[in-house]
Amino acid sequence: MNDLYIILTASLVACSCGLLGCFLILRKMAMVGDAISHAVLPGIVIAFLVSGSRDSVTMLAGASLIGMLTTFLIEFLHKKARLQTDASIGVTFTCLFAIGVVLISLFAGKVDLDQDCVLYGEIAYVPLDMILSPTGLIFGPRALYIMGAIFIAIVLFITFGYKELLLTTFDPAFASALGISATFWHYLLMGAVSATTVASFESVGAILVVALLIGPAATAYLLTDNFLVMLILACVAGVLVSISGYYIAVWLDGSIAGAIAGMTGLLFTLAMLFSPTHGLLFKKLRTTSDEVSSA
Amino acid sequence: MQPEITTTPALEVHDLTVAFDRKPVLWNIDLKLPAGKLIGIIGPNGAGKSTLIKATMGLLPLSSGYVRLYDQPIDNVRNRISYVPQRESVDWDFPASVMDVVLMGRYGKLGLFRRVRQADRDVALDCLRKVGMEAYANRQISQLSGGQQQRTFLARALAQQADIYFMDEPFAGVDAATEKAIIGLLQAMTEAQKTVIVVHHDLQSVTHYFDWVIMLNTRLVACGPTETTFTQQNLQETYGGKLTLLSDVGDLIRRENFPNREGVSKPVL
Repeated sequence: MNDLYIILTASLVACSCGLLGCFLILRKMAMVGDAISHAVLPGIVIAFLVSGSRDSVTMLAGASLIGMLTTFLIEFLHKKARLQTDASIGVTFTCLFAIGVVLISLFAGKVDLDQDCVLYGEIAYVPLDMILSPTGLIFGPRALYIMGAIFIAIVLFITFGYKELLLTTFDPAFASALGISATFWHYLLMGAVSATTVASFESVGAILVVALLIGPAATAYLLTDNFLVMLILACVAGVLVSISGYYIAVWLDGSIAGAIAGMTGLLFTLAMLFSPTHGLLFKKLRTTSDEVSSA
Repeated sequence: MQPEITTTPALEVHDLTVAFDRKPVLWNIDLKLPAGKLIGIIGPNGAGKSTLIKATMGLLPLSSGYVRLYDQPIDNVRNRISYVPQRESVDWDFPASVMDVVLMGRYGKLGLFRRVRQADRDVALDCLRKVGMEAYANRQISQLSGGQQQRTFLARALAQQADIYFMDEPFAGVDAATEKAIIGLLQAMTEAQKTVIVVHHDLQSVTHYFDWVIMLNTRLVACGPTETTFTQQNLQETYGGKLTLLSDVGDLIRRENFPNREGVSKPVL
């Protein structure tokens, strides 16, 4: 049963991240996920210090606010200070993460948090935090419910905002000319990335969140020329790496998050080599056969 | 100085100034454009041609002035305007087909939450037919040539079924045959009382293509019907001391002396 809980939680994280990742990589903003997942640290610490509880909802609220602030700062530095996007991402998130680290070290005695737990997380502990009814009935792990809610919210968001998200990603100027605000949808998407990142990294850690935001989406990008198919393939890739990663970790008796991130890299490499449309192998075969037919 | 337009102007720009970092890119532009004309915007590089159409559509913040379309503020008539951005402004490796891109032209009419219907697909396919691209409807956009990309953008704009079209250099990087096909289409559109405003670079073709010209160099030099506005004096005022372009002006003056040569053969640049 514990196996199933862990795999299910990992899959939900992977699917939510994979769906959002498709938009991020096509907007050339893949590293924004990285930035948010690190920059939310001070938000979590402040939320904890203010409320005094490690209750998920408080943490989620604090971290989401800081996540939005991060995307706002990145936009601000890029537009107003005329800094390149990658440079503004780099400056913003290292600075915010550092503030978080300082806060943790200042209040080390009072905060049951450390950098390791934030960065690496521990998905193996998912089955330990169960929701119990007053009579002692077990409803399942808390993380599973949180991730399930996030996943449903992301699917609804993409279903209802599909046209707008697609258009503002492909051609923001044209969208604005139609009266569809590119800025509004940008912040809505970034809000979704913040919430997902924060909810996910509590259970799986920041580094796995980054891997899942980019890896499955990048794999899907190499496998298709259709955006809708890309979204679906990103989810399939996410579920595949969650299952295979888990069993490899059990077999090796190693870190589950590490194995899942590793599988993400492996799956991407396979797609890069063997994709029917963009794969290096098929491209090579095609050029050779062209040479043969032209000779 | 500007000829009076008796009917409601399609576009009215009043006292428009646009500045980046306090440096004016457009200064005090005042103009009125009639409906149903093919209008060219010409001027040297950095004259603010693209900025003018972006500012007109409300894509850039204005430092001063206002814009009215069909005597209404721009946000009231969004579904009557259409835009063809510069081809390089998007990522052509995006996972989308030609049809997907043309359907984007329908999004403004559909509004939030509504899905693309068969009627929208029919309109999109019809627009692809008009630009001669119906055979490429399912083609991945990364596999298109420059001219085909431009025609895809044009089909997307047509799919909006708007009344006024803003086009940013639609002839950049397309071959002569495509250019001829596009200009034929634009002329047919103006006959149907659509207003088409085109940012244009090639001075040689201005007299053949456009009913009206806007001559721009940060300030408005002139705006009016091509035959009275596109003069030697206005050209010199627009292009000033730009040496490379003076030879073009010289070319045009020479052609004015020998009007019978016009249209016989287009000099290869």
